[in-house]
Amino acid sequence: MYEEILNLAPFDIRQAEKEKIFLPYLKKLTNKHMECSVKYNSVLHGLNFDLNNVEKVSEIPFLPVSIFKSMDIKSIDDKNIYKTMTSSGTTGQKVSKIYLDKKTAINQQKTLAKIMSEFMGNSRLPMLIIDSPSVLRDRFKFSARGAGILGFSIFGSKRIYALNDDMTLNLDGINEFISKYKESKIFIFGFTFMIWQHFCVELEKNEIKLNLGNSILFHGGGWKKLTSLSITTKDFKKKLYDTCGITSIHDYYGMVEQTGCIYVECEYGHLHTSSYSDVIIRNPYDFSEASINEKGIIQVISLLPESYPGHSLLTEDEGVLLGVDDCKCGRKGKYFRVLGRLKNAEIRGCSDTYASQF
Amino acid sequence: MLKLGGVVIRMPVNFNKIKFLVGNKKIVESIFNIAPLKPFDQRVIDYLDILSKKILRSSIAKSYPDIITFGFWCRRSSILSYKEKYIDINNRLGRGIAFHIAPSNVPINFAYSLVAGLLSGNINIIRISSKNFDQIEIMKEIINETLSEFLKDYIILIQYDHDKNITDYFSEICDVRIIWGGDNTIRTIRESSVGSRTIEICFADRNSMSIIDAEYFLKTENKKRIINDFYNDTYLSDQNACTSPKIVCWKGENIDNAERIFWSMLYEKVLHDYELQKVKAVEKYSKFIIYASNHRNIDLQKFGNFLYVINIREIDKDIKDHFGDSGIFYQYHIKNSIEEIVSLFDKKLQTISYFGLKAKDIYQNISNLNIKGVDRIVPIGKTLDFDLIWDGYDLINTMSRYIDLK
Repeated sequence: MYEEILNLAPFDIRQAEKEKIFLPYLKKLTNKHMECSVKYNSVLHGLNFDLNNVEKVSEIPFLPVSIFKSMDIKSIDDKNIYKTMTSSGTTGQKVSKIYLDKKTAINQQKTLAKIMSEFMGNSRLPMLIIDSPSVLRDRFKFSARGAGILGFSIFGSKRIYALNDDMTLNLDGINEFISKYKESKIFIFGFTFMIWQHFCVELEKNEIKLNLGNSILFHGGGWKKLTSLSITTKDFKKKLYDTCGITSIHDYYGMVEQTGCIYVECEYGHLHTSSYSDVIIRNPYDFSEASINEKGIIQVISLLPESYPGHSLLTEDEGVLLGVDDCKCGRKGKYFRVLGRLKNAEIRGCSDTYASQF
Repeated sequence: MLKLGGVVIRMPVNFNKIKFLVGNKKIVESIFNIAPLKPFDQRVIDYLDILSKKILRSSIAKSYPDIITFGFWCRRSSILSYKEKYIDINNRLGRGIAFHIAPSNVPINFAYSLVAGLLSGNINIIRISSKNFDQIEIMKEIINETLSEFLKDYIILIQYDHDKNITDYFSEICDVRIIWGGDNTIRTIRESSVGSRTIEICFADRNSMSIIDAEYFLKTENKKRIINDFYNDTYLSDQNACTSPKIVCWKGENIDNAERIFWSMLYEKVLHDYELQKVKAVEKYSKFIIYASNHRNIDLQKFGNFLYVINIREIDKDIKDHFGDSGIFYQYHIKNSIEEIVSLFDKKLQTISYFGLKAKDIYQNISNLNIKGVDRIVPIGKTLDFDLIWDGYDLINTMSRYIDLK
């Protein structure tokens, strides 16, 4: 089943053809989850959903991503849980819990590898991780940050952490690493905010220039913090160039609820769907499909999740579809932009938020 | 608070951390010299009428319907009609200092709290949220412009950021403490203790419901009016006020027809007038999905993302955990008697609003059913009207003392 999907080249499928592959696959997946998860079944019953009436991918129902924070929802028996992924919520926040069986976990890795091979080639590269090694120490509790690093680590031949446990620069380590691998291309990975705050800003403050011109950088985790500091994509890229000479920079969009299916930014700054995933931008007023260049809420579709009903999810992110099959980079399918988290509501009424100030 | 041989030593408070909107540090310092008043003191009523006139003549206030509503409410004739209901005011005196903690998201609320405090004869210290609301700025101006030499000792409006010392201080010196809403707020404020004789009034998290007689609704010619009333009770405050119904129960014959017309008319109104926040579209959907994940005997009528009506066939114990806001309603058809929905009338239930029924009849039908909640039974459209009897408290009587003369 999924092996056949994985045999598809990651970015060569045109949207019309993709629909033809996705529709029967998603119907099967939906049916499987309906049979294996009582809660999912009850939800679709509540939505008055009938699988027999589905004629388009966009008619497959979606669950809100937040549902994995409010409840345990899975399609496998407890004894088949291979690992449980959690999102990295801040203290007091509820975290998402995603239950994986071995098959889904392996497919996540394979999918990520296929997508990354498009940008990295098939050989593994020396890897510089812009984070501190402490983030992985508790291996039993997979946080999104730890999982991200682990997931991407398979593309690194040698690995080094650029930051110390106290988040300061491990400058000696970095320099040693650079001189050792100066003949090779280097793979740099980190979370957007960490790269900015603990790498770029620190390098600049200490007037250090690194020679990382021959490297490829992947970063993810969202722009929320940088947006609040009014830092744009352009600022981010410029600072990486100024401090390290890096030009090959790829943002990616992904979430713990659909690990493996990342959406990678191409040379033209567009996030691309792969042959294993898709997005639908939905109008916030009725959830109808938005047209190209129309803002909406992002729905993500992945053929991957078999152990939990996460194949079709409504995110809390706003985005815009930029085009289909026609990005200048040559990759087929939809390409889009993420505009950020939906704005928190200012609601009226008398249930109060006052205590937070007290 | 330290006690040495019966002498209370008050912890010093840094008044510099307090922003005075009305009043000043000196007034607070001499607050113990100010005498409580009898309820409905003539000087208070005169002042409220001046305040009312000023508001109703203000060109700035005009664009704030909540200020105007308040202006009407505190005019002389309105206050006098309240006064008539209290026959024992000559035997009553205000308790003394009233410390009010106003809510952060209903800007005009502090003004109603103030009037209740004044009319019951108290000296009022009101902590107002530091959020920037135009209404607070406007009211502050108007109060400062109208305040008489006599009343200035009775009205102190302050703002301060998180500072337990200040809350401790006012809690310790007050004779009445009024906390407007939010269970969390109440919990936090209660970390500051009050004196043993101090009365506390807390407006906790509450919820509300509506009952509609289907046939009466179908027979009503001016349906638009009742739809507008229901809209004002709900969407106007994002269905988030404690008075906003979360569940609508229908009784009588021909319910299917009535509710179909009701919701489609409401939807039309909402589409036209309501600004839906995008994140609310996702939140409402999530609310429903979570409810649907462990309740099978339900169905959803969805009017875009503006209005969700969830039909339920029984009242589950946990239904209140699934109440939402910004346009999500549960709907139940009463088959035989109101006893079917008695589990809704728990401590949390505040207001029953109705259409086509009589308050008296509703009360008669539920009063002997062992109910812990229900503080108001009012017509649809009147749920947000403030009254001196609120949340089950008679504010005048609670905030004043009765002096027994024999």
